[in-house]
Formats: sequence, C-alpha cells, structure tokens
Amino acid sequence: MRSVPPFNAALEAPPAQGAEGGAAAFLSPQEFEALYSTYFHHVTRWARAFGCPQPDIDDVAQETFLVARRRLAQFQGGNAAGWLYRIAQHVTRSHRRRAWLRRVLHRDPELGPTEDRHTNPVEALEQREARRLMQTLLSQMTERRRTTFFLFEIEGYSGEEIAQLEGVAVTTVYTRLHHARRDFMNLLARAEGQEALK
Amino acid sequence: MKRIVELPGDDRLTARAHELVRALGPTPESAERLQRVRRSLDAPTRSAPRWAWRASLALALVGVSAAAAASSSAWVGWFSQAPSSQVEPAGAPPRRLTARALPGVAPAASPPTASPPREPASPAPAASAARPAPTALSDVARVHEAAKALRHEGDPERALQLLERPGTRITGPLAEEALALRIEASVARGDGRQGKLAAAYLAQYPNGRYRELAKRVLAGRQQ
Repeated sequence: MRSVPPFNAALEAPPAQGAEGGAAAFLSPQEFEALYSTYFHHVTRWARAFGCPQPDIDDVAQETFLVARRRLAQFQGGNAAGWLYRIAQHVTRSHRRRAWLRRVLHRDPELGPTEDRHTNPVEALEQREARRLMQTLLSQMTERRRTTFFLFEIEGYSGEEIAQLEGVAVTTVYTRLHHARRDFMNLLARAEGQEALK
Repeated sequence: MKRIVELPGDDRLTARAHELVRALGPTPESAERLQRVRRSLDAPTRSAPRWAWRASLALALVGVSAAAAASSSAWVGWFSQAPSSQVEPAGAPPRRLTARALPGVAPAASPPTASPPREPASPAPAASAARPAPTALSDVARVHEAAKALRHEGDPERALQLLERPGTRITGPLAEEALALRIEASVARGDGRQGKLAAAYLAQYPNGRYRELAKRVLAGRQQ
C-alpha cells in the first residue's frame, strides 16, 4: 500500500562520542541531506495524520526540517524517525493554533490528496463528499486514536513502525487501533443512520 | 491486524468504510514538492518581525474603532428619530447586527458582542423579498441533487431544472462541476444544447477536469 521507502536503518545507528565524552552532533550536513530525502515524504504523511490541512503540508514539512536542522546538535542519536515525528507533531500543533483564523475563513480545508483528476463530475462529487464525511468522522475521534488510525489505515504504516514513531509498545498501538476502529465504525454507523456497534 | 480495506466488505457499513478510506487515500509522493521545500529550507526565513505583529494589532484596533465610530454615528441619527416604544429594555440581550440591518431597526447603542445569534423578533418582508436567493451552500446542495437525479434516478430533466433555475447561477467551487453536469444532462436529454455548453466549458476551463468530456461532446457534434 505504502510507496515510500522504509525508515533508513543507517540513520538509526547510535551516535559517535564527541571529544568531550558527550554525544557528538549526530548528523553532518551531508547526513542531514540524507535525513531530508529519506524522511520528507514521511513527514508529509505524519503532518496529514496530525490533521494538517492539505494546503499547509508543505509549510509544516519545511518548518519541521528547519527545527530539525536547528536542533541537530541536541539530537542524541537512536530513533531518528521518532525524533522527527515528535518535531512534526509539535510543529503541526503550533501551526494549527496559528492558523485558526485561516481555518475560520476557509471552513473546509480538505485532507484529501492533491490529485483530483476525474473525468466524471459525479464521481468527483462523490469523492469530495466521501472525503468531507471522512474528515468529519476523524475530527470526532481523540487525537491519539485518530493519528494511529490514520497512519495505519490511510497511510499504510505497520503497527511496528507506528510503535517506533510513537515510542510505545506494539501492543499499545494495536490497542489504540482497536479502539479507534470501533469509534470510527460507530461514528460511521451514526452518520449513515444505522445503529451503533457494540 | 488487517486493515479495513483488507476486510471483506460483506455488510453495507464495512463496504462504506472501504469507500471512505479509499477516497482519502495515502498522501501522494511528489519529487517536485520535495525539491521545492528543500530550496525553501535554504532561503532566508520570511517570518514577520515582532514589531510587525504589534503594528498589525494597532491597525486592527484603529479599524475596529473606526467601524464603531461609524456605526455609533448611525445610531445617533436613529436615536433622534426612533419612537421610545422601539427601545428595548435595558436587561434585554443585544440583538445581532447584520450587514442588512438598517439604522431604523438597529438595537440600542450597545456594542456588538459574541452573544448567540437571535432571530429578529418580527420578520422584515421587504428585506426577505429582496434577499438574493442562492447561497454557496444551496449551490452545493443543488449540484448534489442534480448529480443524484442524473445518475441515480436517470432524470436529466430534473437535473437541468436544478442547475438552470431561472434567475440563479451556480458559482463557487462547484461551478465547474455544474457546467459539466449540464453537458451530461443535455446529452442525456438530447436537447441539442450540449455542443454550446461544451464550447462554453472549454472556453471557461481550458485545462478543466472534464475537458475530455467536453471535447468528446464537441467531436460528436461535428461528426
């Protein structure tokens, strides 16, 4: 399902020790380039899972890597994906806070993919309607469940990858997924006028 | 654990969930986007300096004050004309000001607050008669109804009625879809207007999503 390459194991290696005995700056500029090209598409996916509207994803990705570059010296090595994921999470949150006015003015920022080429207007309308409904349903879930659900169901990450990103046990991810899926189906049933699932 | 799209869509709810998950789809990968953001990383930061925020805030305050002054001067005129019976009691919640509110129906001189909107006590027949009919929302509803009529009910007549209601024109984000639907409905009804509509579509949206449809219709007319 997912077309981006998996996390780069080379970047997950523990850092070299600096002359003072502490952790050295983990990534040189060349390594930053590698980090960027490896994780850029992941960051755009994460931003979308955090609820970033489609038009703002570039801004969030840019800010995430700006912050990452500024904090390279503080990075202690290890889980680079998790480190970037947390930065993207904070950046998206603050971006959303700052963009509240924009969201009020443009009430319907779509989470959908940018490519919207349909030859059939009815199909296009149905897709748009489905995306809108999906957005409504997701917005009613808690942030943690929504993110896990989105990464697993929409973006196609595995439970192990989500666990690595979130820094939690795989079982925790599957528990969250279980609850998120139940919430989703109940919300969908309600939206479709059916009885909620137990 | 299987993904929703991998589950058998036996029941209607799961099948609908499949549709929704597919409709959202994974984030598309774009090398162009990767390069663009990479270039912007090296560009100087364009964030506004702190004083700019303060200046904006000051400007906004000046704007609000000017608006308040303008509206209060209108109220002064109203006070001099309004009969005392129209003045609301002091404890009454302030009436919402709207863009259509005239000085003669304005409430007491209290500033507009964020209180919940209240319907006007008495309807204004003249204002409602002059109200422009279609809002953006009703346009969306019309296009959706027309699509349903055309596709699910096989009723191009009704689709065209919805899309070509006299005195209204669909504007906004669904204008392109509306025009494409009109072409489809015209083809289905066979009223001979499809060529004109297709030409109009191509003139208006030369790179539109439904240009293939329009071109097919035009090619069909020429044959």
